Amino acid sequence: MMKKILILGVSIIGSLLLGAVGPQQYQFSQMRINGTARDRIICDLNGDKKLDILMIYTRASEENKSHLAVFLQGSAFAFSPEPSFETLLPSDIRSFDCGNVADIPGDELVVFRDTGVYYFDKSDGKLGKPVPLISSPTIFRWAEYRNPQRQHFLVDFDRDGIPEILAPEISGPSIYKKSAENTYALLQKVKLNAQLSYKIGSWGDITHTDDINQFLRFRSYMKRTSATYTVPDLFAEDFNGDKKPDLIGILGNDLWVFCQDDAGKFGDKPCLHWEKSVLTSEEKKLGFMGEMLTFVDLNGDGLADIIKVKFGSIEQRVNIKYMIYYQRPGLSFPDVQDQTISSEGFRADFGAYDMNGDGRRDIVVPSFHFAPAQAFKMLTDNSVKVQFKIYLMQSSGRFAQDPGNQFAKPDKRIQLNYRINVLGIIMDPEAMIRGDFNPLVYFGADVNGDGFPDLVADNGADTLNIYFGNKNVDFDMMDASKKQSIGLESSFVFDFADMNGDKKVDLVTYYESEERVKEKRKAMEEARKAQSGQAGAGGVSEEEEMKKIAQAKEETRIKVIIWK
Amino acid sequence: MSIESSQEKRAVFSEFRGFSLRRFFVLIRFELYKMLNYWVIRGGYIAMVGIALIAAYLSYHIEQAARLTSGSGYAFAISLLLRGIDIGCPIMFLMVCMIFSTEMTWGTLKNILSRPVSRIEMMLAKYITSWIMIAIAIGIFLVVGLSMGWHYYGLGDLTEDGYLLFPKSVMFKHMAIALVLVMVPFITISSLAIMMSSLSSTMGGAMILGIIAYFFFDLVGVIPTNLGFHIGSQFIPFSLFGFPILRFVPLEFLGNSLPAGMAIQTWWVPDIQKMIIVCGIYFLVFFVSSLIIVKRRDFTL
Repeated sequence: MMKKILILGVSIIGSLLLGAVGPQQYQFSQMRINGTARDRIICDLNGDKKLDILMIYTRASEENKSHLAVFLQGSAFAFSPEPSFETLLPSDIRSFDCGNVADIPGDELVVFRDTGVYYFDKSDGKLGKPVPLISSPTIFRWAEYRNPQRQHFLVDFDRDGIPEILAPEISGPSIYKKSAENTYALLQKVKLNAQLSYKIGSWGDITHTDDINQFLRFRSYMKRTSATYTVPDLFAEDFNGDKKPDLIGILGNDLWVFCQDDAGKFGDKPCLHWEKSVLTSEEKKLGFMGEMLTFVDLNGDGLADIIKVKFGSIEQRVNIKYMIYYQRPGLSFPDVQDQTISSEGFRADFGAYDMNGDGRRDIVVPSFHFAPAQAFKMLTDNSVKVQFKIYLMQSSGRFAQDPGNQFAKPDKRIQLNYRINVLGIIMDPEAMIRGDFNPLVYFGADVNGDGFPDLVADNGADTLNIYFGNKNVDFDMMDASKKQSIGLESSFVFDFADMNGDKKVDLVTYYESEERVKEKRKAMEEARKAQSGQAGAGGVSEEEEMKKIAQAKEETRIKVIIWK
Repeated sequence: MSIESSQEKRAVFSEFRGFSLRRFFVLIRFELYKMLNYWVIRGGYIAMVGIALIAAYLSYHIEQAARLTSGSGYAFAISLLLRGIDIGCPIMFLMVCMIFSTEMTWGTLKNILSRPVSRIEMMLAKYITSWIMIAIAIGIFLVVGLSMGWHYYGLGDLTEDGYLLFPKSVMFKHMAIALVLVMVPFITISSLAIMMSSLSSTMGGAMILGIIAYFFFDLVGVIPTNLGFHIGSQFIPFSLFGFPILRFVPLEFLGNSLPAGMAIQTWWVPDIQKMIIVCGIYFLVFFVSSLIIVKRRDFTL
């Protein structure tokens, strides 16, 4: 009897232990395309309730041609290594999005072209011809060739499952709605003008101009006009707490809210125009200072709160301040911020996730202490330590803050070590120049579906670490046995999405292949030699060398981790 | 010299049969007295005080001009200590090189060896003298760093945005631990200096040989960690062999933790473990080599 109890006890303890430290199982897929990835979108193209990957890419050998590779998710949450099908895209596609705009299963690839908005027919199981949805010239007409880019222009304002099309225009965005006749018609033009800046005459730079006339003095002429217009960022989210998505525009220090009425329309005037600059006149003169704004419902009252971000200060260049203005009923905001979060670093981004499952959003801000110790750390270990401060929203609807103190108090701190390939940066600074240095560190993905967002962090040395979230929001950082590590090539480009609809957030990463990076370096080295005269008169031109570099083993790899 | 005093000395040296702790301390005292009274060594320490003061002044004003400030007296002191042990290390190395080579240059080695002092005892005394000399140098950087940190930013409890991060007792406790750990790579560096100087017959030769070896290992340490070789499945970076650079590890661990608001749960972290293991292996190699060289070398010529 005693023996049986002992065995039972041991097995229960064993299963509990195994349950606590058992790794999260996943399906891994690796795919490739023979080209350079430009942009991508993840959506359910074939209507099987599983997400597929659509990748726009180019080939260096074919200028001004954009290809689309589609990877359909197969059985057992796996992708085949090669694309399910590929197609050459029309050259006037400017931007794209995915949504269910036609009466066929799954989402359609919808594109903005010069002449209107189109979707790709899927009648033969692949992408067929573009079918017009809106036939009126778009804002992109007369523009030069550019690779198609992702733009979230499909928005379901009325929550009927059929997205509306939000078309940017100089005089304000137009909203097109699908009618009973299955055609898209203009619902409304929202009066939110683009900001226009212009210049009369050329730029005056003698080395980069095609305009000899600007230097001539023997006659007068009407100078050329250069103009740039900027349509504000557009958001479709509930701002005023009536559960209906409103149209919000943000540009510079301005925020406009066009509230959706019961008829699904937006007023002629914004229901809120909020404009505020937090920089003093003295601060505006300093080059490294700036301000930005965004909004999010932090305290879970249904009303969006405004966060004004100020970076830099007169005393400290690396100071970032997040000024929070909580919304009061009646779309009103205080003149002075309710709370301020202060941090150090050059990165002004932050995360707002419900990290402890209390229905309120918490804030995580990166903090990088600029100490010589960091420089020595890079020298001795080729790594940097980045800290994150976590502010948990209290039940009072405010972050913790001591009376008399002007700043909110951080509740948790987390530090990550990120390895930096110093040699790689020296040899291939292209990524840094492009601004692609965006290491994979994400707090908002719940990979095990327990309701607490997990911390997914690449260590910069081809290992992906998953620190599982919990009620305490400490991610069990001190207990190495609770961390899951996966060997995965470090990536700067990635997507998180629930690929199989099981409420667990999966990961897709994109890379240039290692072989391509090596070949590019080799080709660059050869180009350098050629430019320094070693190739002699019979050598290849700089243009040909650049082409060679671009074509060197051109390949993009995609890796997918789907949690089971 | 009077008969009484020579008898007294004989009595002292009569103890030098077998190991005597008292005699050993006497040897260390003699070594310290000799070195600290040597004008070159004094000049070295004065140079370190000067370097630390100039570095503190420049650092503060560069921080203010760049608007990238340390933010606390502790961060400033740690930063100055890091710079001090970075720039001051070659000076300390040369000073340690002199501990043995001066005996050769001044011809006093023969006098010592003619006494009933074993060569191993003599070497052990020189090792401990070198550690004390290094501790004095690090002490200079610490005193200047803390003084200037206190002057510029203050040295009370560490706060951030008006919130207490760590009381000053915690700050000083961890600074003390860091400085004890800093001694580990410096003990290895001093063993390299003594080993190299034991190979030479002149002070100049010892310094040239020593500084070549020092910069060799120092440069190996800055090879990017992604360059190395494989032993089976294990990747060994070349930089692992550059032990002098490990002198930064304890202070950078400290500097990246407390001033950034992160509590130190334990000092027994992989970086410190690696530093102790690598420095320990190198120390044994240099220490044993120096003992063998001195034991076997004929100093009568």
